[in-house]
Amino acid sequence: MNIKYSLLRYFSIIILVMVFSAVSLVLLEDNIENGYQSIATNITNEYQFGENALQLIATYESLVQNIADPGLTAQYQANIDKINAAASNLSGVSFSGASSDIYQRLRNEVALLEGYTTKGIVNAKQDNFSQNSDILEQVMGDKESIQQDMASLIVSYVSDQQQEEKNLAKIQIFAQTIGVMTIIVIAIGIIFLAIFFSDRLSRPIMRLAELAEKISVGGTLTTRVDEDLMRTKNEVGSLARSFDRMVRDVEKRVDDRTQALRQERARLLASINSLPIGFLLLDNADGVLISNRIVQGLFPQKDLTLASISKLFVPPFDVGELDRSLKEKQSYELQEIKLGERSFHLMALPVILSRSDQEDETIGSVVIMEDITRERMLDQSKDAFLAIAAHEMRTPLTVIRGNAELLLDEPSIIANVGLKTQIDSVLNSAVRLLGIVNDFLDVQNLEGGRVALHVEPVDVAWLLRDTVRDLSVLADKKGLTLTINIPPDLNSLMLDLDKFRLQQIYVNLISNAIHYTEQGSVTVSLGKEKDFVKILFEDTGIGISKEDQGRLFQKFETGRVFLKSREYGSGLGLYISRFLAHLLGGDLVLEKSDVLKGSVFCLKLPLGRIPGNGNSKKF
Amino acid sequence: MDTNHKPALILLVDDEADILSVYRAKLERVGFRVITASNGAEAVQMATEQRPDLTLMDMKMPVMDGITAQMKLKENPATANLKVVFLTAFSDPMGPEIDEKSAKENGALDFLRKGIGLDEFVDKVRGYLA
Repeated sequence: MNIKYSLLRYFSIIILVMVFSAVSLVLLEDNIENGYQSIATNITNEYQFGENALQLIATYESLVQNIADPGLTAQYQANIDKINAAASNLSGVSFSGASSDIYQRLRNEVALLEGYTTKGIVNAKQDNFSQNSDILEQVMGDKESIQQDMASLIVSYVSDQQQEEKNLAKIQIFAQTIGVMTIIVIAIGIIFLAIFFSDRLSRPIMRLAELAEKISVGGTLTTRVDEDLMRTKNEVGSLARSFDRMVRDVEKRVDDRTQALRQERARLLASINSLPIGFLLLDNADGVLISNRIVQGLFPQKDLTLASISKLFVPPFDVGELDRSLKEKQSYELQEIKLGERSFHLMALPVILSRSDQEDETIGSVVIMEDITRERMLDQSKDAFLAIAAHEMRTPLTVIRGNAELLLDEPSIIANVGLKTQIDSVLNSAVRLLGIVNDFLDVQNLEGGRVALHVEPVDVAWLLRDTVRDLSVLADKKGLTLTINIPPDLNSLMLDLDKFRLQQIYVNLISNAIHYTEQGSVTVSLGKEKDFVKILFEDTGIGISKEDQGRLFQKFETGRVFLKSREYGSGLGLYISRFLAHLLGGDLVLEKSDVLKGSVFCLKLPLGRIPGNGNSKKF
Repeated sequence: MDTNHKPALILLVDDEADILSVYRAKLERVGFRVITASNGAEAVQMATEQRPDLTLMDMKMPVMDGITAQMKLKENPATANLKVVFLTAFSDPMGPEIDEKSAKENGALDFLRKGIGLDEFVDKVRGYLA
């Protein structure tokens, strides 16, 4: 049943009871009031009657004394009429108690009085006054008893009135008590009704709330609503049934979704596992969420989940670049890492959650591990091959060079211009080949960390002048001006450096400048900035195209520029020079270059101490 | 060193005969006396017997390498003060087994890079003898 209607029903009953009680009380009070009023009226009438009787007696007295007076007789007759009228007034009234007796007596006495009077009038007409005096005596006796009766009537009236008032008060108190009691009973009833209803309403709702709590907190979607709750016929029942349907529906949907998610996950994991590369999915704190078989095979841990990627590797993986990738939402090449004998190339890709309402959010990253052991081994064997080839070539080249030089010492050969040119050519080729071979070996040792620096105080200005002087022969041969600018305050500038390596850089840059300049000049300038020495190597040569500038400092195998346009040397000169500059704590950059106008290289050397080079063993 | 009366005696040590012949020709042409050995053991023997003013020795040789030979010379008080310069490949990829540092600690004077021009070579040799 509908709760609203039940409530209405109960409240209508209460209101009816209240109205009924109120109406009854009002009627009761009205009745009492009316009774009281009628009693008062009766007593007034009785009293009036008594008064009339006394007046009649008074009239009678004067009549008896002046019986001959015809006016008096008429007045007497009028009084008799009056008393009869009063008596008829009282005739319909029923009397109770003392006043009733008194009234009866009064009636009798008035009747007697009439009799006397009639007799007295007759006597007076016959002048028989002596008989009248007897009658008068009797009348006077009547008067006394009437007066006595009147007095007792008043007493009786007063006591009657008091009695009535007492009764009325009692009834009023009774009525008030009933009123208060009714109100109390109704109030209690309402309270009980409220408790009854709130309990009836709230208990099932509380139960539903409890179930909802169980589902939302415990996640137990198998929770079911109690049968009796669902059978309830009011709104609570329908709420309970809806709730039950909802729970079943949600459970089904969650099941469906879970199943779909499982399938997706299985597909995803299968895809990830089929990848020929290592795959790691990380959360924002660099913890592993998913890893594929290749990755799992690399680590002894059974479960990599939530392990921090930095701790998987020894030495620990530097997550700096990974974090930068996350922050900048860009892919990053990470450092190459070694796991035992294997080398891996790592790449980080941020996982970005696109949101329409706000900024994209990075929710983790994918780290791809590519096994480059084979490439590294190929690199190594290639390098080793080159090194061995270079090494093995050096002795024969030394012999060729030496013998060519010996031949050029011979006066007979010097005299033979044709022969001398040929031997010069042999010598030049041998020297060039030796340079290339030495560059190969230099790169080999630099990259292998086998270059030990011999750090000592070096006058970089003096060394620059010395190198320029040595190479001025080359410039002279091509008709170039080779100038050196050293400000007076830097005439002697001592730095802690490796003299031999610094000279190697100088030689490389100056001989390059000379080589690539057909006319004009090569200028070397020494300068000093806040915390580094700056040496500029300027030429008016062929310049380097923008396209080639990017590859300028790369190794020969990737820098096609050297194979394409630079027929001179191994193409490793700038690579070695920059490597050495870094080793010395400085840098080598192309300041600017314009095709056919010339280039400016800038060598920077730190004014402070150069960093140690602990892992270099050899040169 | 009796450079005034008698030309300085130089011991050239290398297992490559062609290298020996080039350097010998140049050094003799500029007036030095030259004796040669083809491995460390021979070099030790000749140095002990003839006490050259300068020994120019290759590092990697059969029978006995240059470092070992130099250590042997150092151990013998009679030859301990002889000047030894290594002829080196300068950037020697075969380096790891050759401990240059210990060679220098053992008193090797310098390392002379093979493949440099003969005039420069002679300049250097004169420098070591001065």
